[in-house]
Amino acid sequence: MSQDIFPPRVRRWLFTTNHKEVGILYLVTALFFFIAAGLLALTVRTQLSVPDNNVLNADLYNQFVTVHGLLMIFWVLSPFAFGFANYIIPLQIGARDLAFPRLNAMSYWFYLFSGVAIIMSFIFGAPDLGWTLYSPQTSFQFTPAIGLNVGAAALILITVSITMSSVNFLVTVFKMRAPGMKLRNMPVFPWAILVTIFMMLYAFPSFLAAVLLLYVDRAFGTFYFSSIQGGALLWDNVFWFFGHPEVYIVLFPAIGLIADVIPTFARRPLYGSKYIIGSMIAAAIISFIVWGHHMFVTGIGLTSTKLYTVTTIAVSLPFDVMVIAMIETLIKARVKLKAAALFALGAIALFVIGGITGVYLASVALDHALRGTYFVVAHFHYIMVGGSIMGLIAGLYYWFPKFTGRMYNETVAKIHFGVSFIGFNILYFPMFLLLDMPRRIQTYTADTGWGPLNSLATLGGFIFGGAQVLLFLNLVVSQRRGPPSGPNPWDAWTLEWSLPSPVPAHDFDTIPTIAEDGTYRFGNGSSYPNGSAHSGDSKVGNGLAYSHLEGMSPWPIVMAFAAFLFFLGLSIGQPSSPTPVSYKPFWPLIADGAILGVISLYGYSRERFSGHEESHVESWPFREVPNVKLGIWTFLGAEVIFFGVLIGAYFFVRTNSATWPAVGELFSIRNGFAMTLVLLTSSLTAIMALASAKIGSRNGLIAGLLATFGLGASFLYIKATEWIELGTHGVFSVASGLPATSYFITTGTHGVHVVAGMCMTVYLLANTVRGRYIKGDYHAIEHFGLYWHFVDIVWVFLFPLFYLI
Amino acid sequence: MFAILVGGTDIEFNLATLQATIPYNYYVSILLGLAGMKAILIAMFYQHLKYEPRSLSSWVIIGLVIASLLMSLSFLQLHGH
Repeated sequence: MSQDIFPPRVRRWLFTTNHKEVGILYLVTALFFFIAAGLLALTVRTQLSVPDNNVLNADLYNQFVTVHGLLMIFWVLSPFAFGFANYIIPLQIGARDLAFPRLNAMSYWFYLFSGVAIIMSFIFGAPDLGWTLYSPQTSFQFTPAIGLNVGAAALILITVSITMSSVNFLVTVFKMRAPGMKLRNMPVFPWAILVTIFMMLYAFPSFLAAVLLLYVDRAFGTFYFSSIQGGALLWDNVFWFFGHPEVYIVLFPAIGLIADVIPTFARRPLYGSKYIIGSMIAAAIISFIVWGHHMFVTGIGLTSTKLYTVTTIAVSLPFDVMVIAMIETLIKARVKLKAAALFALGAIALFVIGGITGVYLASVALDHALRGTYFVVAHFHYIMVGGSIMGLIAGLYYWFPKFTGRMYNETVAKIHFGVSFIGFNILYFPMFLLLDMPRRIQTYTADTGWGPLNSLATLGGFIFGGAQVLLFLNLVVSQRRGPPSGPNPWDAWTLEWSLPSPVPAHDFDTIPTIAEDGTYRFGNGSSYPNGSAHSGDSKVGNGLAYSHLEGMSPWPIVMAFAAFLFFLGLSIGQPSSPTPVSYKPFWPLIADGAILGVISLYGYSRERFSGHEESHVESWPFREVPNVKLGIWTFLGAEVIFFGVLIGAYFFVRTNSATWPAVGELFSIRNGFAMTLVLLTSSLTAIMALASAKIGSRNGLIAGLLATFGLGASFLYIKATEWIELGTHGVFSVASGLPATSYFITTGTHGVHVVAGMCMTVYLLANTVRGRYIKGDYHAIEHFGLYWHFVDIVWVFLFPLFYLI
Repeated sequence: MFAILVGGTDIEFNLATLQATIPYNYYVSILLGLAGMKAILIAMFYQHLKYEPRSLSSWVIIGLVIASLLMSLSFLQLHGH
């Protein structure tokens, strides 16, 4: 594809894979969605400002509230943080780029197009159920508008984006640190991103599975979430299993950022950085076992409520450690109150208020009274806006000089802080007092007495929103006309400040070396500790020179656009029958997306796959594991959760059902046995293909790959005939009940994975014919094998679950 | 290894024919145990986890632990519901 049809400036931003430029794209786009979500919020606040108001009718009100929440959580908070992560993490760890630059670019374009989809959902009737999308309201019966389908498509696309980013950052942080940059020497911000990535990796697959099941419920009339056998509770579990880690996913990057900002302006090392990092890890682990506190009123039983009360209180403890460590850093420090420091300090204060109120909600008794009221709204806004957004704005002011080489106007920035802080508290504090006002109501009557506090909150909203205009004006003007900042205006001591501002395309002239005690010298010759008392001298650079990596590829944006068209086509079809509900897909868009996707996959595969792997880097604990292999195993880890949720959903609905077909009543055990043998044999042929590649046998490799493909096709043939047999009798179609729903969807998802594996086989065969993989470069065969064997492992469980039990 | 996997599958198939004679809980436990054993063998020998650095196999176990947590706690809720 010729890139020359675009002017150079446009080409640069459309096709870049450079981490800094991708970071800027994330930041700008996230700020755009911040404005959009903010305007939705201001409209909602206007509606609620006085009793019996009618600025927004009930339908629009619900849509505005829902899309505001979805935008802020998915399209603002995390992408804003990952804009910083993209730009700064490689610099702070001494790497030249992320491990997989094109994948990074593709993550961004998937994010952008997913955002386009969620905004487009307004055309079709945007989701209007709150960001939590509770069942059974999401069923066609209660929400016939296809805007929810489009919203689901947007969520699927952004989950794919996040999974790609997770794999990329994990491999980068573990495998690409500069010599001497041991994990214990890393600043807190990369640690915070690392912990965030862990949570993303294991939480988002659950959400993806949930949204996919929701999608098939609506598109094919299945019953996962609309059944009376616990459908609503199933959604609650799989959603909140993701949902609670998600709130820390959006918070931790801001905490890490604050932990970098505070020491800089306090002019002393961060107190207890190891304890902060340990606390983040502890909180991340505990975050996976607290989700039930969102379900205290669903009747989950005393044992569960007790457990979740304990774990919810326990999860607050690591945050206490983090806050205390930051306060200790500030005690007796002469803090330079620049805008970044003010926002960081403000974020801590507001986060503490939000956190304390969260502990109240851990009490089951209090939760019963406060759940679903504005007390909860205030609580999470103090965390997410007060803690996270304010922290991220601190990062914006902190790193703006590094991005642009210019200083912003400090006076305007301080006014921005003052007005924001005051406006924020006027907006949200009254909501703590509205603890008898339910959430998500379009209006209220005057006799409730809620009017004055709502009016006050609305006033605060406009003050807070108006203050952000100062932010944008300041940064836009300063980016062009601000005075030069120099490389290190804050006299900070993390590695990014050793580089010129703005940072050149290749980052480091030579990769720095960090001394054994974690110190490194740069800039004006001063030595700074990396969180510890410094001793001795260290020098930046050890003579290792690296060539600039190639930077441009059109395929990330093309592939993302193809996925966007494909999922849009799946989403915007009109209902073809009311009972059982099913939607007719919009085939032209699906076809366009599929064709473009195949073309882009082909183009992508022809390019070099990943960045150069440096030999002299810190890579413990994966020293002997190549980057791509680590990336694939990381991806498979996410797949474990994804299939775990699908299988778990099957267990859930089955356990909740009074009757279920007996063994052998519907499914032929022989079919299941045959499919298992076929797939096991295909794993054997994949092993034989790898063995042939290792010994350089081209014919053996082709035979192995062909056999694997053929066995995969046989598996699908048996599966297809089974499906047709079940469907034609009319008693067991995808919408005929929970046994059918769970069977078709779980085995169908597995089948899609088999098809994907077969496509990989075709690609490998084509390359083998051209002479690849037999001269020592057999790793692609090995990597394919890792995926294929995983698909086999999934079936090893599906066979007994569906055919034998 | 292939022979062991096929043999395990054969045992599962034959167990299904004897299902009526085995207490249901034992039946399900044996089947899931066999599936788990096969999965571990595939992971260790086909995916070569046995020969990879321990850091990588530990990495894999994390995902399994988290998936198990989700299922266990969800079923604890069901039990009490």
